[in-house]
Amino acid sequence: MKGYRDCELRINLKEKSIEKKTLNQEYVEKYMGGEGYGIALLWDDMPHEIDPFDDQNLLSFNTGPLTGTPAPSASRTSIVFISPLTGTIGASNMGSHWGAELKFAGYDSIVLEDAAKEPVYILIEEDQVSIHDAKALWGLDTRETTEELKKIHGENHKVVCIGPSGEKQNKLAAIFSDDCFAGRGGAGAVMGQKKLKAIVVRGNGSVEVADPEGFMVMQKKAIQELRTEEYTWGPVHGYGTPAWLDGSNECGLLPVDNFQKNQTDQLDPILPINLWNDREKFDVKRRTCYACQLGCHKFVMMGDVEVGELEYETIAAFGPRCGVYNYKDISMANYYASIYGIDTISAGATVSAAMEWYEKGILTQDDLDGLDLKFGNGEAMVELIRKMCLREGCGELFADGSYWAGERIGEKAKPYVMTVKKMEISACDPRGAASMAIAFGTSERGACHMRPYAATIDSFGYLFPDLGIEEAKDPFSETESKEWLKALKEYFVVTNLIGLCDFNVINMEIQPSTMAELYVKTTGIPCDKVELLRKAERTIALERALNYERGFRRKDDHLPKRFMREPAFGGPAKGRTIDMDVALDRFYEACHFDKETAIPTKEKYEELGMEKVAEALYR
Amino acid sequence: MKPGRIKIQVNANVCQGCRVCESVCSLSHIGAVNPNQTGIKITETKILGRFKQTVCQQCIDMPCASACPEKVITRDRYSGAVVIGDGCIGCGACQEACPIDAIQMWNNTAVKCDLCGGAPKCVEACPRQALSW
Repeated sequence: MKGYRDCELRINLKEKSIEKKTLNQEYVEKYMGGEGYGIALLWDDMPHEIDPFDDQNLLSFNTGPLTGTPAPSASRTSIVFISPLTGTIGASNMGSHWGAELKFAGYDSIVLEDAAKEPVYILIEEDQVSIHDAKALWGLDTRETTEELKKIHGENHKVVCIGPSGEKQNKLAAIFSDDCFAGRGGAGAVMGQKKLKAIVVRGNGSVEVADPEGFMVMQKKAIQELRTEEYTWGPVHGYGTPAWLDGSNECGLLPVDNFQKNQTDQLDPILPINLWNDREKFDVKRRTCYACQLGCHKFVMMGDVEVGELEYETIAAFGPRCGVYNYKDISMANYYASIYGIDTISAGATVSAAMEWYEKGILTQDDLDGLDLKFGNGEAMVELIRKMCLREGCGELFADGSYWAGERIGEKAKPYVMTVKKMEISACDPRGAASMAIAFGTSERGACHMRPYAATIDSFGYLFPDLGIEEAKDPFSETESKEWLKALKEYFVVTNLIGLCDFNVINMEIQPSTMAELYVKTTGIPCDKVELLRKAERTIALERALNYERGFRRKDDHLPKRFMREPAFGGPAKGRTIDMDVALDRFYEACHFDKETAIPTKEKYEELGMEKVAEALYR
Repeated sequence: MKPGRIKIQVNANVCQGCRVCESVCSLSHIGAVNPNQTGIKITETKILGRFKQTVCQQCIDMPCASACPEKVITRDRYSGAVVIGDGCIGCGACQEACPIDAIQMWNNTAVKCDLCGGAPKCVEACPRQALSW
């Protein structure tokens, strides 16, 4: 079994015990690795109904079999846990060089049990694993922590850490690694609860590949597929993810003023084409994840301020969503989110909900420490973000996201909370693409734009013949069959299992058969694209099972009522609302889910070879 | 040290530090990915977004070859690269002799860029055309 390092590192933070195990072969066979491996661990090794802040919450960092190889952007680590934000499974994914370094050090997964009493950090240098006191680091921001640890252990060590937000267990807290974030779902808060400040890794070992020559051929093919996709290798390669702002706005997918609108005519001042090329405003640096072809990360300096990576989602969340079209305010909000370690999507969405509460008179200036939180007031937004990150003053109310803030404020506030399973919807208006309504609704970890990013197919008009999507799909039809969406979702999940980046598939670049071949050449395990998708299907089925055990049902797959009641403001979707019930029915039919419980049927579980799971669910 | 003409040329301005060059180098030479067994090395510098690329200059005067006690370092007639032939004893003399630190020692063997025999894999894989030859 090449590709894998065949080692799972188990650390009990309370007892400070360290154990090295071989990988669970059954997990590898069924779920491949990465996210799937982590979910299988949650299912088997953790009581299913625990509170996310219980010591028993199992936090695992899982690389995929391709992580560390030269396959395009083979850098990904999936962090799996029970999410404090949503209460569902938490699966958050990040790039940077850390995952590859972990593979070089000799481990596929790190599994963290229990919680430490005092702040600690973990140091992994090949087979030397040790737990160190982190009292001196507690309170430092993400970049200071990284710098300090590199100073102590060496410049070439790779670091993941949390910032003050994670320490304070903000439910939006992210895990940070060289300005890459595992942002969604509050992974940072779980790390904070475990009093784990950082994991430092250095490795010198080899990731072996079963058929190096064959791998090189397939790697070249994959690179070719990426480089021949015009949008990916054009604007996204050049400007990074903000390149999508324009297209998203044109198709009426851009949330404006907390989803009151889905299009704006004020976008110009924050488009990358007007910012990235203006040296007076920004100095753009490039620092990508391991083995990345695309290079979407653009590290931005604004004068002396190291703003960090300004992504599409970040600009959309702090920009149009809050009615802010000032690049300075967006940058400063991102700066605070980066150094304190918080998810920018949820943070921006929470501020935009607060703005609507303020404008509707549900909150007053007295509730907001005097902030005049109107849509478009960038300075107030930045100040609120800072306060949220540190739980300062009125920030305490919003620190756990808009759902929990709404709960605390009361019934009046709830209609303006734009969340699914308590997680804030990211920057894509579901009224503009029926597939995205389903994607957000049925995502197992709460409103997630990467399960899958289906607007590419139905709204932007891409086709994907290798995945069976041969005809253009109607972006405004809930009634048409959603078989294609099932396949696309599975394919997006495959990237999380295998250790590649979603941007390899977002514009249908790398073909499923190429991906399957890459897996075969790396591991030597026979596989084709059908089996590849099946591994993802199993992972999704297991995630659904765990969510079911934690009390999630069909009603939790619904979107906020605004999308059913308020017609879309502009763009091609103008005047449209969503019929979520029909959309869910079509999708559940395609996936063979039970329409009431929203989990796969017993037969489906058995077909997937998951009899034990079926037994537990269908007692 | 007299740098040669036929070598991996580097444009440091566009390198984004992804290290895919390292990765393909070790994979195509040793059949596995190892960050220490590469002929090209990318390291972070103090300046954000700037990386240092260390790769053999295929020197005309070959200080590494002069230092080699076994005389196994020679110039390949076909590719023009300075290559380490069979018989390396892992003494590390070449590494010490190299003025730019482009030779690494790993598992008692010296590792350096051999231009892949004439069609460097790293150049093909580099996404920003930071490498050429």
